[in-house]
Amino acid sequence: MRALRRNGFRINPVWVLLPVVAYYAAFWIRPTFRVIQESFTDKAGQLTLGNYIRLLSEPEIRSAFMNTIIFTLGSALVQFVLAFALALWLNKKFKFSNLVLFIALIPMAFPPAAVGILWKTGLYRFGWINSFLSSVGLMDAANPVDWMSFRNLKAAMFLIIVDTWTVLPSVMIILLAGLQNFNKEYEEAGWVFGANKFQTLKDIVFPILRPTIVTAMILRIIAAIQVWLIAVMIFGYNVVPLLVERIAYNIDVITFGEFARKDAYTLSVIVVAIVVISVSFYLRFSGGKADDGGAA
Amino acid sequence: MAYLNLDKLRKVYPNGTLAVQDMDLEIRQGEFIVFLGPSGCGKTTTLRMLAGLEQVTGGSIVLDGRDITDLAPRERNISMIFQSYAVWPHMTVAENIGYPLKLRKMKKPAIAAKVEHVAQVCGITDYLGRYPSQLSGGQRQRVAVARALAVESKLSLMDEPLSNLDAKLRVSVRTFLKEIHRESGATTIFVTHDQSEAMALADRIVVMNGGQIEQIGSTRDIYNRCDSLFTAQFMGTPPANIKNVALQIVGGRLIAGAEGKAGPVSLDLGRADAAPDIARLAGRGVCLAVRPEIIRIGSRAGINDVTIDIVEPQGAYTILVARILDSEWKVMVEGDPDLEPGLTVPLEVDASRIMLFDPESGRRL
Repeated sequence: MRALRRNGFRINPVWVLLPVVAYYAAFWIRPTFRVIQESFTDKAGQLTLGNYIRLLSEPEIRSAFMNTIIFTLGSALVQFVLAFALALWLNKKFKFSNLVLFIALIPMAFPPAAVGILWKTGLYRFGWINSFLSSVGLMDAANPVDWMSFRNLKAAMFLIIVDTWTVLPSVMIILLAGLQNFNKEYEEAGWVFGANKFQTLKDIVFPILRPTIVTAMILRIIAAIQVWLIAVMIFGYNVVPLLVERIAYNIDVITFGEFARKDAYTLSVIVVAIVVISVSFYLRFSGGKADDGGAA
Repeated sequence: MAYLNLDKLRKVYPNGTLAVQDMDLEIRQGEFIVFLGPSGCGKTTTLRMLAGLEQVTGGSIVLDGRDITDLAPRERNISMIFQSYAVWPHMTVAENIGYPLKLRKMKKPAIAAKVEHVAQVCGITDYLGRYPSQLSGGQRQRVAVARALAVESKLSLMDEPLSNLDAKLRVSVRTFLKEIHRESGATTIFVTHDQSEAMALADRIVVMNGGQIEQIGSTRDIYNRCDSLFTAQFMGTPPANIKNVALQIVGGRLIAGAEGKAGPVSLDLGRADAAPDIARLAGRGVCLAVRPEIIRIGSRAGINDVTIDIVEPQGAYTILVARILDSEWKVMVEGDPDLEPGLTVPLEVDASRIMLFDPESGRRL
C-alpha cells in the first residue's frame, strides 16, 4: 500500500479538478468551438466568410446594430445616473430609507415576461399609460398616443425606459454596497479642505468608488448588448431588431429557413466579439489604476 | 476677545440624544487645546460642530471675530486631521497635499513650492510621488499633517489622530505633532480619550463628561487639582484611589476612618499641621482621593501596616495592590524594590497632595 502524502491525499490533489475540467470541456469549450466553427464554414463544411458577408449586408442586421448601440449607450448612461442618485439618497439613512430600499428593489423580482406584459398593457390606445397621462392633463384623452406603433429610435427609447425600470435596482444595489463601504472621512476631508458637494463627488467619491462603478457598469453593458426578451415581449419579433433578438428570431421563428442556423451561430460570435471589445474599451477609458481605490 | 469662542454650544441628535450641553469655552490664538473624556462624552461631536460636519442645535461659534456657526465646512478656513487620516487613496502624496490648494485657486508653481515646503517639514519628501497604499500608517499620518499644514488655516482640528498607530509610533508622532505646533503656532483642538496624549500635548485640557465640561486647565491643574471626583477618577494610570471617609484629628494626626466589613478601618494621613487645608475639614464626611504615587512605604512600623497582595513591576516604577480602608488600593513606588506579595509594610501618605470631594456633589472641597 502506498503511504499517504503529507497533505493526506493518496493522489496529487490537482486531479481533484478533473471533473470541473471535464465539465467545461463537454459543455462549454466544445459547443463554443462548434459555434465558431459553424460561423466560418458553409453548408458543405468549406471554410468561408460568406456567413458574415451575407449577414452584414442585411438591412435588418444593420438596424439591429444601430438599435443595440443606441440601447446600450442610452440605458447604461440613464441607469448609471439614476442608480447613483438613488444610491446616494438611500445611503443617507433617513427615517424610512429601509422601506424605500425594499420598494425600490421590487422590479428586480419580476421576470422579463411579466415586465413585458405589465408594460404592454400600458401601450395600447386605452392602456394605463394613456389613462395616466390624460388624468394628469399631459395628454388629450380624445387623441390618444398609439405607443405600439413606435418603431426604431422611438421604440428603442421606450425599451430603455422599460429596461431601466427593471434593472435599476440591480445597478443601484451594487453602487449602494460600494457607498456603504466608503469611508465617510474621505468625503468629509473633501468638504473641510475646501471642496463643495459637487467637487467632492467628482474628485473624491467617484474616483474612490471606481472599482465598484466599473463592476456595475460592465455587468450592465453586457446585459444591454444582449437585450432581446423585453423587446419581443412588448413589440413582438421583427419590430425592434436587436442583435440577440435576431439570434432568437432565427432559431425560434424561421427555424428551418435556409440560413437560419448559420445566421444564429454567426450572430452569436458577433455578439460575443462586441461584448468583449466594448468591455475592454470601457476598462481602458474608465482610466486609472483599478487597485488604488480598495487600499487604505 | 477670545480667538475662538463657543457660546452655549448645544447638540441634540435627531433621535433625542443630548450630546453636548450648553458648552462655553474661550480659546486664545495659538493655544493647543485637548478635549479629553471617555467615549460618548461629546468631545468628537463638539469638534465636528467646529468643523461644520455636524449641524449646531443651539449656541454659537465665533472664530477670529466671524460667526461660523452655520457656515459650510469649506467656508470656515479650518483644517482637520481625521482618525483614519482620510488621505485620499486615489491621489499621490503630492496630489493629496496640493488638492486643497488647487481648490483655493492657487497657481501651479505656488502649489508645487508649498507642497515641497510642508513635505520637508513633515519629512515625507521622498514619498511625494507615491500612493497612500504604498505608505505605512505613520507615513500616512504625516501626509495628513502636511495637508493640514499646507492650507494655513485659522483653526487646526485633530480627531483622535494617534489612535490607529501602534504604541511606539504613537509616542513619536505625539512628539512630532508638538514640534509642528511649536513651529507653526496654529491654534489647535485635539480630541482624545488617552490622557497621556492629552497631558503631553496640551496647553490646556478640557475634560468632558456627559456632554459637559468637567474642568478646564493645564495638565498640572487637571492632574493635581481636580475640580471633580470624575476628573480624579478619570486622570492617572492607575487613577486616584477613592474612599468615602470620616476625617478626624486624633492626637495631632489626621485620621481617615471608615466602616469596613469586619469593623472600623482607618488610614493615618500624617501630622495635621503638615496639611492645614485638609485639617480644616476634620470632623466631617468626605470623599478621599489619593493618587497612587503620593503613598510611599514608610519608615515607622505600626503606622498603616498593610499586607501587599499583588506586585506589578513596570521597570521605572512598581504598582502594589493592597487592601487599604477595606478597599483595593493601588500604590506606586519608585524603581523596582524587592517586594513580595504577602509582605507587610508601613505606608505614609503625603497629606498635602490628597484631594477631598463632597460625597454628595462630587465637587472639590
